[in-house]
Amino acid sequence: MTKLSLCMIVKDEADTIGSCLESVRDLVDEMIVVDTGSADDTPRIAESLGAKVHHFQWNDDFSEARNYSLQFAQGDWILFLDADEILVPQSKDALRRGITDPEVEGYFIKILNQLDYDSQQEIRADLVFRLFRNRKEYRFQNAIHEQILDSILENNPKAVIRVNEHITIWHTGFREQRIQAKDKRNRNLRLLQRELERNPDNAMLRFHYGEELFYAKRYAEAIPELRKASAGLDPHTHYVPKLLRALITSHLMLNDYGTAIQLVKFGISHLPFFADLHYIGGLASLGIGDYSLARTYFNNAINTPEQPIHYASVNGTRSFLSHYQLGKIAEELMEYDEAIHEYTKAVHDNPNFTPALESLIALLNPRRAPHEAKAKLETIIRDESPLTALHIGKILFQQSAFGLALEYLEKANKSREFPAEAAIWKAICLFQQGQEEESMAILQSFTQDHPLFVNAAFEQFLNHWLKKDLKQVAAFRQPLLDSKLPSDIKQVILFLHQFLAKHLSQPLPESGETALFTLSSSCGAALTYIFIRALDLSEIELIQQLIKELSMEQLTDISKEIGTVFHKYGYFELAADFFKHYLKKHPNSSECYYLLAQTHEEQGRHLEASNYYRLALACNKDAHRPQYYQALIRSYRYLRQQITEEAAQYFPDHPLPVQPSKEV
Amino acid sequence: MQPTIGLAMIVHNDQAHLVQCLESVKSHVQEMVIVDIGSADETTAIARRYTDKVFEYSWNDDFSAARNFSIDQLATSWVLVMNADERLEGLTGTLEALLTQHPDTDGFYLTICQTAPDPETDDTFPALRLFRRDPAYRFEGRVYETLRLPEAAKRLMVTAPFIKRISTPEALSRDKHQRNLALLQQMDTEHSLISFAMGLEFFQLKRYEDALPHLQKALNSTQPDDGLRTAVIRYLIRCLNALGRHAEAIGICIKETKRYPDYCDLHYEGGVIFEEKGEYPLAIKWFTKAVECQKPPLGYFHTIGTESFLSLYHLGYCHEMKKEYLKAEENYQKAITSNPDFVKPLQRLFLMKSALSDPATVLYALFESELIKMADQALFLGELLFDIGYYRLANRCLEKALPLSQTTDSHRLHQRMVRYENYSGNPAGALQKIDQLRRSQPTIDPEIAVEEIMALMLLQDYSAAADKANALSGQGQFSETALAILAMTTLAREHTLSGIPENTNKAAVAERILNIIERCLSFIPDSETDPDSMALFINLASLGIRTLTALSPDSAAMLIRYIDDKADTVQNLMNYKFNLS
Repeated sequence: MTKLSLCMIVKDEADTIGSCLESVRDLVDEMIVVDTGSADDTPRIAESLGAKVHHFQWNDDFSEARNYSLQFAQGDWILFLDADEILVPQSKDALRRGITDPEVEGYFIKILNQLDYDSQQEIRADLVFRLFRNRKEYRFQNAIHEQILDSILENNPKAVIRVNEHITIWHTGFREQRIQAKDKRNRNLRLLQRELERNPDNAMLRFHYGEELFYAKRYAEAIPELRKASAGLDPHTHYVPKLLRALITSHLMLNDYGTAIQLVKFGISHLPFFADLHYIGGLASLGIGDYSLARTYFNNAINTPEQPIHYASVNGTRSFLSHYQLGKIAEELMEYDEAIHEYTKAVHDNPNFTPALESLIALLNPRRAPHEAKAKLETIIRDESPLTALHIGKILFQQSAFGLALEYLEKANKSREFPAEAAIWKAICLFQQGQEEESMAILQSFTQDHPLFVNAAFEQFLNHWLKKDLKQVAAFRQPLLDSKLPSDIKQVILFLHQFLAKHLSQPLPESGETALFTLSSSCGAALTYIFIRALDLSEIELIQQLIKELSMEQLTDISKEIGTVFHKYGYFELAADFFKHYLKKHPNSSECYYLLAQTHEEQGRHLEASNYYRLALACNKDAHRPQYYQALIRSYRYLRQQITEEAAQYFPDHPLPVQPSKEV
Repeated sequence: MQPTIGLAMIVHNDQAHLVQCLESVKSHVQEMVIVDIGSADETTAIARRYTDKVFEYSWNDDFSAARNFSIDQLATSWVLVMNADERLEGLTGTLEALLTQHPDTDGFYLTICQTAPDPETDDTFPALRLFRRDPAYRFEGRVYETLRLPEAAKRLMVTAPFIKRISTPEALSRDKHQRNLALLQQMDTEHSLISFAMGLEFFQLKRYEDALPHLQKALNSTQPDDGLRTAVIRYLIRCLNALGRHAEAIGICIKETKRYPDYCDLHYEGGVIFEEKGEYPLAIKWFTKAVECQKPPLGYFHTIGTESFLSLYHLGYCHEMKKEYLKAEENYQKAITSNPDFVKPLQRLFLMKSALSDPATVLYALFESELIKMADQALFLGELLFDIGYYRLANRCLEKALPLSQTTDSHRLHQRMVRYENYSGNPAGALQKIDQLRRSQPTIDPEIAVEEIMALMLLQDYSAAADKANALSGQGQFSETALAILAMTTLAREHTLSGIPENTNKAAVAERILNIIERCLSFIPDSETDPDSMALFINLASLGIRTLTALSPDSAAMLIRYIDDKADTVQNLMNYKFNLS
């Protein structure tokens, strides 16, 4: 029976070492853990799971530490894992079979790197050399990005090395929120710099250094290193795809779209089927506003064949990421059917990719047309599971489609794993749909020790306020003021209470409290939320009175948001007032002119609308979007239609062509 | 003995220009002889106001004979020859002083400066125009007459004074060229001057195919040190360019720059051809050489500015096309400083920088720099900004121009100021300014009257506007504007256009209304604009639209076409900008 040893080096990995060892416990014959100086519980946890723990003085040299661990291994084969990795359970059989193959000396196995990068979750597959026969000649080299393969091939030139994609490791160590990740990154950078000083001509080392700088978001520094590393490199070198991707993405992140596209073209000439290149090419094309080119690139990315593992292609560039981008382009060009089509594909490829789902749902207009939206949604998303319902329900709630959100949240509530915050959303939806008692019941179930108690209390306060129940509002005021809410939110609460009292011609609460205060800009989000709740209940008068109590100056910075809320709920005149106010301070806001134009268009005032669409384009050259142009053209068409109809009344014998001579 | 100078001229139907010519020389000469070869207009009468020595001469197809005759009528010791379409300029001091400064000189070459039509540039070349009155000094040649001086005579080229020639519109000069050709063909066509002359005449008639062989013959037969040769080269290049034979034109530039390495005009011409072909790096090389060369020696056919502002402007342009914006700016600035009257680099600089940031920032930066030194520059920018809808900024330009301008110009400035004030969204302010103007000048110009009416329209004071429009309706080119206003006020007050007289030129009125609408819909507000002023423009535009709709089926159709065109422009812009098909 072939024996398998797990060898590891660890330091301060108490939160993950357990899962790692558990994942291989019943597979390996021994677990050797070399601790290089943990300050936490790591050694004790390892021991408690049956590992043999040895200590080693860390010397800034990964090979040294790993080689130390090797000498204790007694198995025929060695598997190396890092503490923030686990062996995927389905891989165990393949692994057992793999090590019984007499011909093979070592295996490249698959690793799935989970990265949280730019608030998106990315999964990147890659190949790593982690499984090999235990021979004393085989030893690691390099202080960082340590390699053992070279040693194997030197000692055994005829060694058979295979790739086994059925053996998979799942690596969660790149999560940015872990402070340790940052420290690790800095440590790696330091080591790499040192090694580079010793071996300045080592291209692979320089590549790793550049890549590390890239992950540290130090793009301007990464670029020259990556370029230097690539000089004279054989395009078939295994890390060329990763190098190219890091290099091109660095230019992209610096908004250097021209260079990015040039490099994409260069990269494609050598690696025509590398999906990530096409995807980044699409992003760079969007950067220069070339929608046609962007579409081509994203479609190319989708049509690439399955990616070789050593490309370490980002998961989704061949599928949901590109579909999502195509959807956004279509949406921008106002090709809404096409947009829905692409978003749907993205969602089908990856139901957990939230941006696509959000965009899709938004296009279905769930707030104003809930029945149609629901029907369409059901044809797209066949998955009836509570988890999916929760996901959809959350998005609907965020888009203020309270009615439809309630349906989905209730479906989600059937699962025992219905999170507390979702309960609060459900309570809000219930209230907005007129089921006040059920709403209150849920909110009241949050006891003082619950972490979300304050949120539930605030929602109760708001519910009572919307029902104009002054007594209850007063009752809920104090616990909120006593809580750890930010002080500006507390000011909003005070203000709401005072306003309600005044509105109901009731005496003001305790003296000593002066009427108004300065609204900080962070209150804006809270106010906007309150407006949405109120307008959803058609409480327009209440809100109008409320606004009167605030000075326009206070509201300037959020007047665009407020205007947008009024616009959403159909109060166009009010919306226009707020947009005009915003424009006084921000005369270059294309977006605001666009919104203002829309309020006029909704009321059939196409001359005004076309004028403001024109200004959206004229006031700020950098903010141009196809949507603005489309809107202006559409406005002109409406205007000419109005004129044509009027002219027909004056001169019925001289009909003017209704359609323009050149079709759009 | 003090030298005396006499003007000798031959004239023919020159009533349009004769006065300004004679005014420019009258204080510099002691005597004037004007020989009229058969005018049918007031030429002779005008001439007699300046001198008694006006002679009627019966024309016999011989310019030299006529000129020699004119010289013989003088009693002065020196002769100044001029033509009616010329002015003497650039003289500080007296002509006598010039003569005493160069006592040995027998004949002075003065520079003729004439504006070439396309592109508008000033060509300069020498002509022997001031010389001793001596029986041995005779004109020769029936046309393109040349003054023959004996070998021993001393000649000198001077830069001051110079002669400015007014360009004649094509239509009028055609006969002259035909006549010249006829005469030339009777002369010795082998002679280099005659070949050149024939080429030149054909060129002026735009008969480039015919001009070419003569110019080529002239090139081959002129000596390298003959000043005429440079003129031949220049016109040959122009001719080849006009025929689209750019490669050959370049060939000539290359060849002749070897012979005249310091002839900046050639480097300039080469640069222009390469620039047209989009070969910017090469063009830059050539223009740079032109700037290095500086002005060529006197006597060369020289286009003013090829050694400076023209080449600098083109350098700016080429760098701009290569997106080398810093270098472009540098060169444009040098061009502007070199010749503030030449507005092209100012325009390009402004537009280029506005595209990279925004007009307001660029304008204020320009004012801060020392580039704007003349009122006309500021006015030019003002018009530019006004045309693209930045009315308030246009106003700023006027404010800048005012202290720089001559007092005589301030009237024009005030007129513009009123206009811009109106369109900045401040019609009340415009009316105030007009009242101020009235105090110094009770009858205001019709242009300002129009602005007054526009202000009243913006303020929706339709009855006042109608009254003023009625007052304006008799005045020539403004009557259609007045009618347009009346149509709009009628619709506003009576809600019908049935009162409009049938014989009204509805098409012209419609056009005026459309102009007003366009102005209203071009306004671009800035942070100081009162947002409610936008409503003023919308209201007026709306009234204009309703008026056009009701005026006639044709005017409604015109309005629809206008809107469709706007939509198409936007569509094309969008397709271009985002690369959509």
